[in-house]
Amino acid sequence: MAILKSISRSHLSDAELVEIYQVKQHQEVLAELYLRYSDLVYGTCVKYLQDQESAKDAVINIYQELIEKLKSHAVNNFKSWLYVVAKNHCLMQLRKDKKIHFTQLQPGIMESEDFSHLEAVMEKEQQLEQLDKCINQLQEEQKKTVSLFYLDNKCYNEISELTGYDWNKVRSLVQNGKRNLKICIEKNGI
Amino acid sequence: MASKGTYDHQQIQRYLQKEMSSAEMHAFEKDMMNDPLLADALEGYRDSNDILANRHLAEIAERIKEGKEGKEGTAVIYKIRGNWLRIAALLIIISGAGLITYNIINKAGDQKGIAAIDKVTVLPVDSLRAPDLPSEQQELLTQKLPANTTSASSPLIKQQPPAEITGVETMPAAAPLALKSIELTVDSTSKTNVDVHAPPEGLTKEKSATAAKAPEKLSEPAVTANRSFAQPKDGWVKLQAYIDNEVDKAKEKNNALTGMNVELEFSIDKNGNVVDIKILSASNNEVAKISINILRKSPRWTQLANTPRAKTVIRF
Repeated sequence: MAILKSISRSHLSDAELVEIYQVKQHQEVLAELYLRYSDLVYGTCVKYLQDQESAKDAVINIYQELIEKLKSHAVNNFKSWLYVVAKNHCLMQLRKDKKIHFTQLQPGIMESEDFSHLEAVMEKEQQLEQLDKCINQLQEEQKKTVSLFYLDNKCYNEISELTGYDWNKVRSLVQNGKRNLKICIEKNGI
Repeated sequence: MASKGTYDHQQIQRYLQKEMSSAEMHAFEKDMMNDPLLADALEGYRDSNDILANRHLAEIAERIKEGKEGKEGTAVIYKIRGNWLRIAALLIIISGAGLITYNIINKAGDQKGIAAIDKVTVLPVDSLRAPDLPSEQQELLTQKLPANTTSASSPLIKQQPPAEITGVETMPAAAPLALKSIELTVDSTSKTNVDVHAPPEGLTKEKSATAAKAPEKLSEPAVTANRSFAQPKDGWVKLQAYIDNEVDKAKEKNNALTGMNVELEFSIDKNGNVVDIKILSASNNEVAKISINILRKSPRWTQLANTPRAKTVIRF
């Protein structure tokens, strides 16, 4: 079982905290909510900005943005929305610094949780046969890694050791394989 | 079933350092597939300095927590400081304005000497009563002034007041008289009073013949036997100096005002301010507005009960 971060401050869900903040606009509510994901926001900012100091500033700046944005935006999934805001902030920063053109993510697109549906489908026994057919249609590398990951519940490191592929390649093969499976499953009406 | 939850920096570091069990890693990776924020954060932490990241995250948490408490306190401090600064600035401005006004008035008193009667002219009233004054003063007070009367031709000026009337003396016709008064409108039910101003300090009957030269300063009236008079709080001299100054300023801006007259009627409220100003006659709208402004901003008057309406004429 994955070890989850304990939410020590509040038993309320993200949606509940968002609602409270939008009504009462108390900053401590937003702070509570943001601090649940600030570690992840920091890591994301490091990825895009390639500098930890800049990432630290970006995390604070994103929080300042949220103070106003969250008051008026309709947010269904706070974590997904936060990801979009954070990424857009970093891209804007990069664009300002380096004049690199990026296309901003649209919150609506990113808030969908398509992949969770795939996992739910995979767990259904009566659809396993069709799933098996779809898996067999994948290219060899994808087939091997997807099978090890989903059917044998192996982690990337184990798959890497078993296949000889490096960690990044394993991750890429599993993600691409998963996407192709989804297309196949949907095509077959599962 | 996929596990859902949030991962912090510590958990991510456990994953990167392979300190998690295979099962934990598998669950983490499954969550990561559905969580782009976690996926990107993992990539970021993989290439970052762990010690620096820990320090930054602690600082971020502290600043965000402080933001909800310290910010308001800071705002209050700035607000208090801002208010004090404003008060201090206001005091400086008022002091400066007071100093400038004082200098102007003194300068006006020095240079202009006796204010010209043609700036403020007494208007005749039909009946004036000052029952508490001696009969000689009564006679003086009830003298009618013809319209557009200047100081030189004023019958009041030409008369010699009785010796027993302290402080009320006349000036020779040659010298401009510091005689000005605000006459109150006649109302059978109201008490009307006239304030007569004293001549310049030091001038007596004996000296009146040599008073061709305008005295330097004018004194305030000493005849106030009837305390229900309406008079400027700081005295007639200062009122005249103020009006002179304002009229001169207006004429500097617009020379066409010269020779124009404005007749006004006004009241004095309980705080001594000139209120309810009404134009009775004026050469044009512009000069009327200027006159109203001059009167409205004039120095305060002494408080009176049931002060009737007063009239005046301002000549440019």
